[in-house]
Amino acid sequence: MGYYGKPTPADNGLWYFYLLCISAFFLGHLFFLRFWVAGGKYSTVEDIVQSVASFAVPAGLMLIPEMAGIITDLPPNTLTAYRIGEGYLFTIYVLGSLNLYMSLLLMRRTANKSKIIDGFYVLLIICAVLLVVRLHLPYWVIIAFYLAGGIGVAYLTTRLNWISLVRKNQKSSIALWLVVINLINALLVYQYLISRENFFFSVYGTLPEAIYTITIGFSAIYGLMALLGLLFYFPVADIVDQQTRELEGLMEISESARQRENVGQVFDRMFAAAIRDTDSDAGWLWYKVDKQDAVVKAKNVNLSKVNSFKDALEPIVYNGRAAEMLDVPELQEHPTLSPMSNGFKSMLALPMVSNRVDLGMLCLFKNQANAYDGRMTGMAKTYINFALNAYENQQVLEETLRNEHVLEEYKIARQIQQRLIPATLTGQNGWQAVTFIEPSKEVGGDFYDSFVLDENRTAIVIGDVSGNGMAAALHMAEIKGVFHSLTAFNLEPKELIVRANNAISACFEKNRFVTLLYMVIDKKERKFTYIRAGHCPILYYDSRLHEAHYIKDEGLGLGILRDQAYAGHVHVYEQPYQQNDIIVLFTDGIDEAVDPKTKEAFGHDRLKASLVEATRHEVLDKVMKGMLADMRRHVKDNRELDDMTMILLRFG
Amino acid sequence: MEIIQHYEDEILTIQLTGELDAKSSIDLDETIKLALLQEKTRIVIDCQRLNYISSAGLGVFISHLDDLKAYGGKFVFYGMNGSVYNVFEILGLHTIMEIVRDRFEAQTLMNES
Repeated sequence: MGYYGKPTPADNGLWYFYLLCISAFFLGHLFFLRFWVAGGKYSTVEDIVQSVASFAVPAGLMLIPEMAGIITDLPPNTLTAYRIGEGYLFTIYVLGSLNLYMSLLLMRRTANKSKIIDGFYVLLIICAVLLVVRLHLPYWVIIAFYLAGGIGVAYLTTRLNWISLVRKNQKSSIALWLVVINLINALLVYQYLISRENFFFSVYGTLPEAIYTITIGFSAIYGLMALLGLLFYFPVADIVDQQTRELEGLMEISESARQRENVGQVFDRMFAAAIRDTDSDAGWLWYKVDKQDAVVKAKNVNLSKVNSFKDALEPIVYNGRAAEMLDVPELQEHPTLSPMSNGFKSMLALPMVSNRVDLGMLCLFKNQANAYDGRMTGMAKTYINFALNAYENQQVLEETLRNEHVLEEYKIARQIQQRLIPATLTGQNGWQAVTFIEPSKEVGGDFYDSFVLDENRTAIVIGDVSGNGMAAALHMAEIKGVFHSLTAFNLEPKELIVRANNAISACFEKNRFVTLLYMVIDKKERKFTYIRAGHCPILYYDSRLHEAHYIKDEGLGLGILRDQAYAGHVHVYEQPYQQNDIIVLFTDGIDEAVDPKTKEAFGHDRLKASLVEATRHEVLDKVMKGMLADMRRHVKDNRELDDMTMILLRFG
Repeated sequence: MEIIQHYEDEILTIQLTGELDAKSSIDLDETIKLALLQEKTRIVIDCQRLNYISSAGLGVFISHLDDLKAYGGKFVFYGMNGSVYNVFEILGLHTIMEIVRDRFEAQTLMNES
C-alpha cells in the first residue's frame, strides 16, 4: 500500500487554489527564466550574482511582515493576497536563482556538467507537472526524488570554477552581493523549511515538498558555496589575475605585430603593457633598430634623464657578452644608481637582445623597495621576448621581400640579355644559320652576334666571358657594344681584334678574360676569314667526304696580354668552303658538359661524331637539335651546366 | 682542392691536388698574393695531381702575369695531364706561359733565367 498525501488540515479549497497558482507560476517561470537567462543576457559573473540578489531581495522583504507577526491581524482577503504575493516572489526567486546559478555553472562548460544540469531540469519539470495534476505518489517515489535531487545538488554545488573568471576589481562587489543573498537564504530556509509554519508546507511528505526542498536547497547551498569559494579564492586571485593580465598583454603585443605595425609601435605597446601589468610606478624604454635614430619612451621619468641612466646601466646589464636582467630591490642603497633614481625604491632593468645584437633596454621603477617578485620579472621578460620575436619576424619578412626583389631584377636582366642576342644571324644570303644559347643561370657570359659588312661579307662573332652569372653578363653586354662599334669602322680582322683586346683590357678585372671567334664570310670568294682568340676550335663538316674535323690553328684569348705584345698572338686564317659544308661554332659549355656519374665530359670527339650522324637530317635546325639531344643524353640530369651556345652554319 | 707550398733555393713550388674551381681559385689567389708580398716571385706550379682547371683558375694565373714580370719572376708549370694542358692550349696560354714536362725541367728552366 502506498502512502498518499495527507488531507489538508483546515480550508481545503483554498489550499488547492494556492497550490494550483503556485504550480502554474512554477512551470511558467521555469521555462521563461530558462530561456531568458540562457539568452546570453548575462555575460559576467557580477551580472549574474546581482540578478540573483535582485530576485532575493523582494522575496526577503516579503517575509518581514510575517516574521514581525503583524499578519495575523489582517483581514482574511488581504491575508490571502499577501500569501499569494509571498508565494509568487518566493517561487520566482527560487527558480530565477536556480537558472542563474546554472548559467554560472555553464560558464565553464563540460559535457558531464551539462548532462547533470539537463537531468536536474528534467527532474524539476516532472515534479512541476505532477504538482499541477495533483497525483499522489508512493513514499518510495518521493524518497527516490529526494535522493536523485540530493545527488544532483551535491554534484553541482561543488562546481565553482567560474570563480577563476572573477576579475580583481569585481571581487568585493560580488562578495557583498553574495552576503546579502545568503542572509536572505537563511531567512527563507528558516521560514519555509525549518519552521514549517507557512501554510503551503503544512502538507508533509508530498512530492511538491520534495521539489521545493530540492530547489530551495540547491539555491541556498549553492549561494553559500559561492560565497565560501570566493572567500577561499581571494588569496590566490592575485596570481590568477596576474596570469590573465599577462596573457592579455601578450595577446595585445602579438596582435599589434600581426597587424604589421612597425617595430616602434610593437615596442611601444610592449612598454605600456609592461608598466601596466607589473604595476610599476614609472619606467623608460630605450631602443635603436635598423640604423634608425634611438627612440626613448618614458613614463613618470624625465626624458632627458633616460640617456644618462641608460649609460650608467649599460656596462652592468650588458656585462661582457651575455646581457642579463638587473634587479635592484633597494635602489636607494645602490652606490651609482641611487643619485639618478629620483626617489624610486626598486628597479628592474631588462636588456633587449636579438640575435646577439643589443637593441635596447627596458627599465621599470616602483615606489616600494623589494617590489619586483619573480612573477613580475618573468612577465616583463616574456613581454620583451614577444616584442623581439615580432621584430625578428619582421626582419625575416623584409629579407624575403628583398630576395624577391633581387629575383625580379634577375628576371629583367634575363629579358634584356635575350634582346641583346639576336635570335637569328643576319646576312644569310648565300648561307643559312641556326643558333642555340642557354645560360646556366638567369643570365650568362656567352654571346654571339653578326654584322653585315657589305653586300658579300658578313662578320660573325661568338664569345664566352670567363665565369658566369651577372658579372659575366654585364661584361658580355660591354663586348657586344665594343664589336658593334668596331665593325662599323670596316677594319681588317686583325686590327679589329687588337682594338677589341685594348678595349677589354681597359675595363676588365685582371682575372677575367674573354675567348672569342671572329669570322668574316665572303660569299663571293666562297671563303671565310677568321681569328680564333682562345676560343673553342671550329668544327668543320665536309659534305663531299661526309666527315668532320676540328680546324687546327693558334690564338690567344682577349684580356690576357694587355699590352702591344698581344698583336703578336693574333693569327688570321682563311678557309675556302664548298656548298653544303657545315661549320659548328660553340662555347666550352657544350664540349665540357659532364656526365655527373662518370665525370666524363661530352668532349670534342663525341661532338664531332654527333655532327656527322646528325647530318642525315636535311633541315639544318634538325641537325643542331640532333646534336643537342646527344649532348643532353650524355649529361643526363646534370643541373650544374655551364653557359652553352652553339651555331650551325651551312653554306649555299 | 689541396694547395701545398714548398720554398727551397728561392723557388716556391705550389702543388695543386684535385680540382681548381671557382671556389678554390680564391684560395690559390690568396696564396700567390702572399708569395708576392714576400717577394717569392719564382713560382713553380706542380700540376701532377691537378685534374681540372676552371676559367676562374686560369684567371688567377693570368692576373699575376704582369706583376711577376715586373718583379722579374715567372710561373713555370709542370706535370700537366692531357685535359688540363688542352685547356691551356685552346686558350693560347701555352704560347705565353712556360709549361714543361717534369720537375727537373721546371727547375732548370727557372734557374736559366
